[in-house]
Amino acid sequence: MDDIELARHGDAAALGRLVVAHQEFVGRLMWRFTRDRLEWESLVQDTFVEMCRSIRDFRGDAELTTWLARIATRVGYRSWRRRRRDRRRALPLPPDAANRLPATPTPTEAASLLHELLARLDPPERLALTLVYLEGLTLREAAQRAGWSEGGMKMRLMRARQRLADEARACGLEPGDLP
Amino acid sequence: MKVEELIEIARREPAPEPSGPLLPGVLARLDALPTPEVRVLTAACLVSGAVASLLGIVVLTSAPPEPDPLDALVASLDPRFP
Repeated sequence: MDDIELARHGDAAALGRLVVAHQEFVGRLMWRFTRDRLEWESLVQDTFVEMCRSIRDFRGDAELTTWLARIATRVGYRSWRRRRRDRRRALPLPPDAANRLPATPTPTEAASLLHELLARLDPPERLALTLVYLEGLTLREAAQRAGWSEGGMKMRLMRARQRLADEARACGLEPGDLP
Repeated sequence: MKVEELIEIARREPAPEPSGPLLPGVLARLDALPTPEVRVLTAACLVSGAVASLLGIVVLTSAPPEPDPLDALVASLDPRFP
C-alpha cells in the first residue's frame, strides 16, 4: 500500500509523510492567495487539516495533487471572502503606482502590484484571473478547480478582465489585451 | 507597462520558505478539533439552545393580558369611601 492508501486507512505516519511531500506544492498555490507570510502559513496548514480530515473520501479518481489543489483553492477563496469587507475600505492605489516600478521589475515587485490590483476585485473575479493567468490553467481546468461550471468561469473571467483593465488604467498601467 | 507583462513577471515569483516545519502546526490544529463526542454535545447544546430561544420568543411575543377595565375602575376609587 502506498502512503495515500495507508493514510486513508488511518495511518498517521503516512498522513504526515503526505504533508511533508506536498508542502511545497501547497505553499506555492497559497502564495497566490495572500502576501502576508503569517496568513500564508496559516492557509497552508488549514489546507492540510482539511486534507487530513477528508482523506478517507479521496477515491483516487484524480491525482492527489489535483484533489489537494481543489482543497487549497477552497481554503484560499474562503479567506478572500472573509476579507471582502476590508477590501471595500481599501484606499485606491495611487495613480502613479505603476510608474514607481523599476523598468524591469523583479517577480516580487510585479507580484506585489498585481496582488494590490487583484485585491480590489470581488473574490469570484479574482479567483478566475488567478487560476487562468497566474496558475496558467485552461478554462475547463480552472472551472474544475473552482467547482464552477465552464460557462460560469467564462462569464466571471470576462467580467474580471474588464475590472482589472479599469483598475490597471487607474494606477497608470496599460490595460493591454488579455486573451 | 502592460497588464500582461506584469502578470508574466509576477508568475515567476517563488513562494517563500516556511519559517519552520509545517507538520507540527497541522497536527496541533487537528488535535484542537473537537472529537465526534464533543461535536455531538455541541450540536445538542445548539439545538436545545435554539429550542429554548424559540420558546422564549413565543413567550415574549405572546401579548400580555389586557388590563381588566374593572381593575382600573377599582383602583381609581377613593379608598376613603368604600
